Parts: sequence; structure tokens; C-alpha cells
Amino acid sequence: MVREFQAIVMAGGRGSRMTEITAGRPKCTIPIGNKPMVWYPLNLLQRTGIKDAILVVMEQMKSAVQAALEPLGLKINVDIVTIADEDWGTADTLRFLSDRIKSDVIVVSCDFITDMSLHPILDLHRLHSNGVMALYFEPQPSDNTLVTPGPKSKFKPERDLVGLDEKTSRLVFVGSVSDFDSEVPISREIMEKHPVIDMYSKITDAHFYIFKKWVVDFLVHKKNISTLKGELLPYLVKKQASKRNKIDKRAEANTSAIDEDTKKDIFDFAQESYLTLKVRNISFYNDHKSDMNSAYHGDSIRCYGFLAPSHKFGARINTIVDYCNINRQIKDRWEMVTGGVQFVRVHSSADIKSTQMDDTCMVGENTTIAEKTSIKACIIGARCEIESKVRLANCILMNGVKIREGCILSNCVVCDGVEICNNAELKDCLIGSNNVISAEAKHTSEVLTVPDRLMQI
Amino acid sequence: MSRKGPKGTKGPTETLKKEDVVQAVVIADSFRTEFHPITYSVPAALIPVVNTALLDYTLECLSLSSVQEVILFCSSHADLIKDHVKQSRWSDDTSTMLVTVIVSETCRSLGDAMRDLDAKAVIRSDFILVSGDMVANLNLLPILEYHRKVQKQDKGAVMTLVFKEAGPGHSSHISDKAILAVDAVTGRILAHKKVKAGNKKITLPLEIYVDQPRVQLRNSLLDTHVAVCSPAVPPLFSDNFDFQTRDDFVRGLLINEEILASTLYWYKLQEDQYATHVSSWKMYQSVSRDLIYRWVYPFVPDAPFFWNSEPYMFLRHNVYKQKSVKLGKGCMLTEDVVIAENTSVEENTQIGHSVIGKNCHIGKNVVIDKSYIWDNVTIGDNCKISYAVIAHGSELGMGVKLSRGCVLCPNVVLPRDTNLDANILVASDVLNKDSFDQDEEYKLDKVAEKAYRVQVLQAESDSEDEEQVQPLCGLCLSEEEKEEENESESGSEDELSDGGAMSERASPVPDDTHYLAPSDFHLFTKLKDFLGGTHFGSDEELKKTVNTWLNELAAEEYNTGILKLVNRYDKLFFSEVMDSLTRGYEDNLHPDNLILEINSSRYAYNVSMREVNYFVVKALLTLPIQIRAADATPKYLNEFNKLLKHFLPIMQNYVRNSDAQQDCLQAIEDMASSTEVVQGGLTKLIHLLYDKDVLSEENIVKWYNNGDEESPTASSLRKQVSRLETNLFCMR
Repeated sequence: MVREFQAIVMAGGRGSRMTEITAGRPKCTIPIGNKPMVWYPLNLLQRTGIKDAILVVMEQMKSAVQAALEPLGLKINVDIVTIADEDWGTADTLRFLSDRIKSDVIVVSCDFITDMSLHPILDLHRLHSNGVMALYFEPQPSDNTLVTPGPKSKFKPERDLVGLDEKTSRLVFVGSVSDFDSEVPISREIMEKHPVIDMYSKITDAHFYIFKKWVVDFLVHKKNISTLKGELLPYLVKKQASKRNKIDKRAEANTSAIDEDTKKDIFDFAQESYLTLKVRNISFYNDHKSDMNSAYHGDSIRCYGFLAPSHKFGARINTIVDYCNINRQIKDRWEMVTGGVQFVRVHSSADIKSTQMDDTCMVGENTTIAEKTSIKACIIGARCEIESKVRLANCILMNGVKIREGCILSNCVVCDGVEICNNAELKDCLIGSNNVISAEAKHTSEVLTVPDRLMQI
Repeated sequence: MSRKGPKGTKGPTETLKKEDVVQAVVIADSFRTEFHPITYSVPAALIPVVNTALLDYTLECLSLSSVQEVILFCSSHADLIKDHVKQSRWSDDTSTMLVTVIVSETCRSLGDAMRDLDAKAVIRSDFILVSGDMVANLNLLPILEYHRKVQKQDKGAVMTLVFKEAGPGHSSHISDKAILAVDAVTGRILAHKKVKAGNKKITLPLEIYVDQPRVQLRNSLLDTHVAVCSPAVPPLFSDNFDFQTRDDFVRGLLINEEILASTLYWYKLQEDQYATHVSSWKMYQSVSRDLIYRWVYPFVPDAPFFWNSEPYMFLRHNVYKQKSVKLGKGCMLTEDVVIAENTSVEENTQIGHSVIGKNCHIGKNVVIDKSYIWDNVTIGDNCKISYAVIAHGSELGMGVKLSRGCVLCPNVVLPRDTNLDANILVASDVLNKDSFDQDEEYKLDKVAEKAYRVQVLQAESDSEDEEQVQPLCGLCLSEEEKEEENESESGSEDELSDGGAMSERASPVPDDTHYLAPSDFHLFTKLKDFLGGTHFGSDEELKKTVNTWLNELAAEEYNTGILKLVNRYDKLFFSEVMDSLTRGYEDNLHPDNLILEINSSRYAYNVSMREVNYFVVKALLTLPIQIRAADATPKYLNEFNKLLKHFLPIMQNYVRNSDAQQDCLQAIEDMASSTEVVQGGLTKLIHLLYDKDVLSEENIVKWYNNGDEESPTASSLRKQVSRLETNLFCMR
């Protein structure tokens, strides 16, 4: 049975922007609110009514991801596909999966978390799109007073320049701010077709795309495109404005020289069905006013951009800053982000003897917390051991962390299997997985990782 | 709507502060040439649109918006405008709006007008700035309030521009097509870019996108030329004397935002509000149509706006006619027709889509279509008129045919059976020269005693403004518009290919670009002649043809080409030497440096030593004429003597041996035979150089004897110096 949409969750990345905590483990398994990151997009798809999803992971990470997924109890069929080549871009991956793709495809990144319902986006796609649909978010309000653990870094995110038609949401312009020197050219023809264009420079691309099936076929044909956002999306957006007949003529002239397959251009792929066109011709519908052109100005490739309403939350977790922010917010956003999955603040198997643990903390399964501990606004993973006289504030503890007597940690991220020995004092630190912090150690704003692990990367 | 109208609209004023008097400035002059030559006799603001002067629409609209004080600024035809205002109801005692006329004859632009206002200090608070050719039904008070609201948030807000939304395909987008970039949140204008026909891309600076989270690019706006200004605007014009038009102002403010600390905002008119200004014949036609189709309600022909006219009847098919109109038997008013009082139309005449003024007489079997006829026009029998404007007092004999955008200026008399087509302008008499704009030249063709065809000889000197290239085109909307656009496009292409010819009329001082322009190279001109008018199916074909042509070309052709190049280099070298010497004289540079400079030019152009001598002397001889403007022989010699004091070392440096002296004398001879001033002083010149030890007597004698006997100039020159020669000879 061919379904309306197929979903692909891209989890092949290594988290290169936050290696401190992703070293040696798949990025998609780092916990957010005690769930692996990839659970959120999968849950989102499941909620939307998607039955099957393809999860793309690196070959060596497959078992780890499988292990992380098993206890989650997702109803959606997750088909884990591995890719071998580390250098593959997102478009390469999509090309690799082309045999499995039978219908329009939703491509979502494993680090995507939103409280938006996907239905309005899917509807816009169903109605108008013939190409790609992209999802954008307004800049999220964030609390700048909070200190991010680790050394201070000036992280400058890349800014996109996105142009949407004010009325129809047609995506008419994409570019990166760094692509332009001092001036930005926009073709006059586009301005004629879209009299009012909203240009955004501060919105973020959610890396959530819906492609028409033909785009995947086109990718198979056009081998030199390797990323979705950087290459395919601008290409499609640009091609919207070009006219087919010009290319046709050239193709005719060169028929003899070039063989059938290579002379196909994007417009051969972008053809709409006979019935659709017929219906559009008969219909009075038009997507624009003020000139006498047919609907969509006769464009066969149509890209749309969906800008989420400003009160909606949406984020990609690909930096330490994002990771800390989302963990701080997840308790408040849980209801909306997960679509009503029951919120387990403290797992029933946890053994908590502490009396000074506030309500904002989360505790995973089989974790033991000894008496005379003070724990504030922390997220504590599974199988952790926290001994007495430990003070924790604003910390994120992943799984299997052992904190010995008398430690004081504030605003730290502690990765899997870390052991922190007696009376250590850590502030604003990132502690890489399986590290052992010696007793009485004192660190502030540092990254503490096992050196050889970093070397591997 | 009538005289009572303004009294009823006191309500909105109360929302404004009591002490405020709402001021409006009306610029009753477009300072443009679109309506030339009709505006030589009628001011643009008094051109009638649907039988009412444009200024009346403007003033009515202001009055309906409860404007209390209007400053009417006029420059050309000020007396006519004054009279018009004096006769209007605004001069009535009961008028709620005070109209003050300010006249400045010397004023040439909006900028001048604003500077004048600043000097006169008549602006007290925020004011409304409109042009006298505005047709609008909008209420200006909300815009004024919006402007004040914006000003509370942004102290630098000086102007709120009013735009009307209309799709890119809208017919009123004829002129002033512009793209506006605005901050979507605040409404601040970030960029205003005029769109020219050839532009494929629109480039805007990156920073406007980066600084604002959301920037709207709007291509769908009609500029209504209505603006609300702060009192800071006239001083800004005074401070920046290069601001001429409102566009200059907008551009200047946007570019120098930080320096001038002034910002612009925009205001979008609501859908039901109409505002435009009649800036060209095309707009004239489009606005007339809108008025007839009642888009500008309450400004419709049948509304009793205008106090001294009898009311119109509004009949089926948009036919408006006043009571005293006489229609003959079998006369047909098809649709969209306006006919004013006391006009008589005789039998079997057909009128459609047209406006006819007062006291006109139209004969039998006349066909009038899509035309605008002003007052007191007489049209003979069997005339056929389409797409024409006929100004008041004109007379058309029987069987006259006018088509495709004719414009008849006032009082033209066309004899019977005249046939005029296309964008021909006919003006009566010789155009009164004094009111002429210097930058336009016309040719007048006599058609009849009181009818002359006007042709624009030369387009505007500043061809940047493409709109002004054809200021004289008439109506031609709808079906013919496209055709015309094509024509103008092909016209501009022609201009491009004629680029070579354009540079021919270069200034007397040799212009480098002229000599080096590739199109000037002899092969290209020949190739152009050869290829002219032929068509090729493919690139290959073209390549082949050009190759065979090149192969067939005789070897001499190349030779002459290269020789020509040498010649060109010589000319260039000469001009460089001239430049060096001129500068050297003006800045009093040391002769040694000039020699260095000349020598380096010599290597750059690969000129032989003897030629250098020749050219240097020639340049020195030219200098007194060039820079001291010596026009008589005594003055020339005097100046040359002065120059020589400075340049003698140069002379001595180059004119050393006898060969060089011969070159020097050759140069003098050439100069003398071409320039009278030099010729007159030839003897003295040679004597002077002899005295300065530049020339030796042997060489002078040698030169004298070597003269080409056959050339008349050479021998006559020698005759002149014979006395000197004898003297020299004797000395020996």
C-alpha cells in the first residue's frame, strides 16, 4: 500500500557542533528530559498519523540507536537504515533511499522539537506545493541571563535570508546572509509575480521539509546536489522562476547529440498530472489578484515556506546552548511538545531518600539518591548514584552517573558513565562521558573530557 | 458635496489639537515637461480633466479633509492660477479654507519651492504636501494623525508618503514605477528604488535585511504624490541644496539616514480611497476614465461640486450631459461620454468614450472616439477624431482626421481634409521662445497658417531619465499601448548601436575614449557595414561568413588599419603632451619634471624622437591659444613670449640638433598654415626663437630653401619670412 507521506528522520549526523557531549555516542540518543532526542521527532510523526518512518543512522551507531529506541514503546514503524559514508550530505542520503520512496516524503532532522501540529503544513503542501515545503520559526525568546556550561564561546549562527510571498507563502527567495557582499539582487520577474514579498533575516530553518516524489527522482538524475538546505532548496526555489519553453528549444536543437536520459531537465520531473492541470484550467481559482495570469502564473515548480506563528515553539538542538535551553524548558513545554504523553517526573523505580529535592527535578529509572542531598532544578538520568552531602543545582545528568559524597555541582552537564569523586566542586562545566573527576577537584567553566576520546573524532 | 460640504465635516478637526491649523502646501507646477508644449500656454494645474481644472479637484479634496489653510505655490503662469483662484469659491467670504498664493518665478523644482517656503517661514506645524494635479477622494486627516503617532515613537520621522495598492498589472503604473522596501513592523521606508525598463535585477543593500527581522518588498504601490511632512522638511531642503525633486529628497534621506537623522514612513490607502496625480497624457486618459466610471466618488461629473456650473444629468451607459447641450437628429452618444454646457452636436454624429467641453460646436457625421475636447472648439462636418486631445479655441475644418494621440494646443486652426496621424503635436503660431525650456529643441513644420507640427529635435540632454525622452507622446492607452512600448524599446536599441556616432561630436580637446573606442577601429566599422541588415540562423553560419570575409580582405586593408592606429597613437600622444604642459603651466611645475613626464608618454605611445620634437613644439605653439585664449596675433606673440620664459628649458631640451630644428620649423609651418593667429606672427615667431638660440640661421635658411614650391601655403609663408631670411643671409 502506498501511503500519502513517507517520513525520513535524518540521524546520521555526529553532532559536530557539540562534540563535548556527543563524543562516542550517536547524537540522536543524548537525552532531553530523560528521553533520547530522536524520540521527539518520531513521536511528532506518530502523532500526525504517519505510520512508517525511515531512521537514517551511521552504520557503527546502529546498535546503540536500536538499544535506545527499544524501551520507548513507539507505535510508529521505525525502519533503521544505515549509511556507510561519513561525508554524505542530506541529499546524498535521500538519493540513496530513493528505491524505498514511493510517495511524497517528509524529511525531518532527529534534533527537531516543536509544539506545532504538522497538519497545517501538510495541508499547505497538499493544496499548492509542487516541489518542496520548508518550515521556518521565528526567533525563540531565550533567557540570556543563564550561563551555558563550558568555556565561553562566541557562537555565531549562520543567518538565512528568506523571502515569502505575503499572501500565498510562496517561497521565492532563499539565501544565506554570508552569500552576499553588500547588495542583494532579486529578479524583477519575481517582484512582478509576487508584488509583496516578506524578507526575513532572523527566522530559522527547522530542517523540516516535505518533498514531492518527483524531487527524489530528480535527485537521482542530478548527481551533483549533495545537501538539501544548501543546494537542493535554493536550486528548486530558483527554478520556479525559469521558464520551461526556453530550455525545451535548446533541448530540441541538441537532440541528436545527447542521449535521452541526460537531456531530461527538472521540468520533465515536475510535471503535474493531466487531471490536476485540467481541473485548474476549468476552475475559477486563482492564487493571486491584480493581473490576468493563470493560477500560480503557470509555474509548474512551486515551493512554499511555512512560517510558524510566533507563539509556537520550535527548535533544533545542535549546540550546547540549545541543549541546555531545551532541558531547562522541557518540563514546561512537555504537554505541547509531546502531544500529551504522560509526564514522568520521577520514575517509579527511582530510590530517593533526599528531602531537599524540589519539584522542578526529573529523575530516571533505577537512580538512587542518598539522604542529606540538596537537588535543585536538575534532570537526572537513569541508573545514577548520588551519595550523601551532594549539592546539585541546574545540572543535567545523563545515564549511569556516579556522584560521590560531598560534591557540589552547579550548572553542569554530566555525560554517561561519569564518576565524580569525593568533594569535587564543579561550576559551569561540561563533563564528557566515562570521565572520572578526581577527588577535591575544582573546575569552573571548563570542558572535562577523556582526552583520547576527543582524539578519535 | 456642494458649498455646504466643508461645514459639515468639522468633526475630525476636533480630534486634533485645537491650536493646530491644518496646513497644506499645493505645488501648482509639475516642473516637468510631460505636457509640453500645451503647458506653454496653460499651466499644468489648470488642465481640465472632465471639464474641471485639476487644481479644483486638489483644492476640493483638501477642503473636504478639513484643511484650513492652503499655501498654493506657483511659478510658471502664476497670473493665470491667481485669477483662477480669485474666481473660485475659495476667495469667497464664506470659504472655510484660506488659500494663499505664493509666487516664485525663479523656482525650477519642488526643492526650490520648499527652500522658498523655508525662507518665508510660513510652515508652522505638520503639513500636507500635494501637487496641484492631484485627483483624489481621500480623507487626509487620518494620515496626518498617523504621521503624528509615528512621530511620537520616532522623533526623526519627517515624512509619511501615501501609497495606493494596485497590482503590478494595473494600468496606472505607467509612470513612477518603484519598489519600496519597508520595515513590516514599524512601516519605516528602508529603500525606494525606481524601476527602469531594462533592469532585470533589483539590488538592495544587504544591511536593510539584516537589521530588520522582517522587510517587505512592495512592487504593487502607486505613488499618490501625497505626503504628510513635518515642519523639519523645508529646512532639510534648504540644508541640502541638491535636493530638487521629492525623489531626490527620499533618496538623500535614505542614503544619509544617520547624518540627517530623518526617517520616512509609508501609509497605505484603504481600498475605497482613490488618489493619483495627472503627470502625463496617459495618466490624463486613465484618470478621466476613472472619473467617468465613478471610481473617485464623490468626485463624479454629475456631483454639483463646482459652484458656477449647471448640473450634469447622469444617463445610461455613463453618459453625462448638461441641460443646455443640443444634440442633432440621429446623433449617438454611445458610452462614457461627458458633454458640457452650450455645446451643440449636429446630425448623425457619433461620440464615444470622450469628454467635450463648453461652447463647442460639432458638425455633422463626425466620429469622435476616445478623445478629449476642451472648451470653445469647433469641429467641422465629417471629421474623424480618435485618441486626440484638442485644447480650447481650436477649429477643425471639414473632414479633418486625427488619430493615434494627436494633441492640439489652444487656438489651432486646421484647414479642411487635414489628416494627422501618430504622435504629432500641432501648436499654433511660432512657439513663444521666452517660455522655452533651454534643454528642449523643437522643429516647427508649417501645416497651415495657424497650425504647426512640432517635432522634438533632441531628446533631453540628461538621457538618464528615460521617461523624458518622448515627452510629446499623446494618449494611446489600451490596445495601442503595447505597440508603442515596442517602438520605444526598439528605439533605445538603435541608440545603443549608434553609440559610435554619438561620440563623433567630441569636444575640441581630444578625448581618449574617442580614439580608443573599439567600435571605431577600422575593421569593425567595415565589418559593421558588411554585416548590416543580414540575418543568421546560427552561430556557426555567422562565424563562417565573418571568416570568409576576413580572408577575402586585401592585405592593404590591414596595413592601413595599423597605420591608422599609429596615427591615433600620435594624436593621443599629442593630447598627453598638451595635458602635461597645461598642467605644468598652471601649477608652475619644474620644466625637468615635465620633460620626464613627456618622455614617459613617449614610451607609452611608442613615438619616435623626431616626432616627439615635432609634437612638443606644436603643443607649445598651441598653448597660448588653448589656455590663454589668444585670438589676435599681437596677443598671441605676447602670450607665447610669456610662456617661453617658463618653457624655454623644455624647448631647448628637445630642439638640440639640426634635425630637431627642422622638426621644430616644420611644426611652426604646420601651425602657421592651419592657424591664422600664428600665421600673422610667423616672422616674429621665428625671429624670437632665433634670438633665444633655439633655431640657428643655417637651419632657418635650409628650411626656407627646402620649401615645397608647389604648395601655395608653403610658398606664401616663405614669402612672408623672406625679409628675415635676407637679413640672416646678409649676416652670414
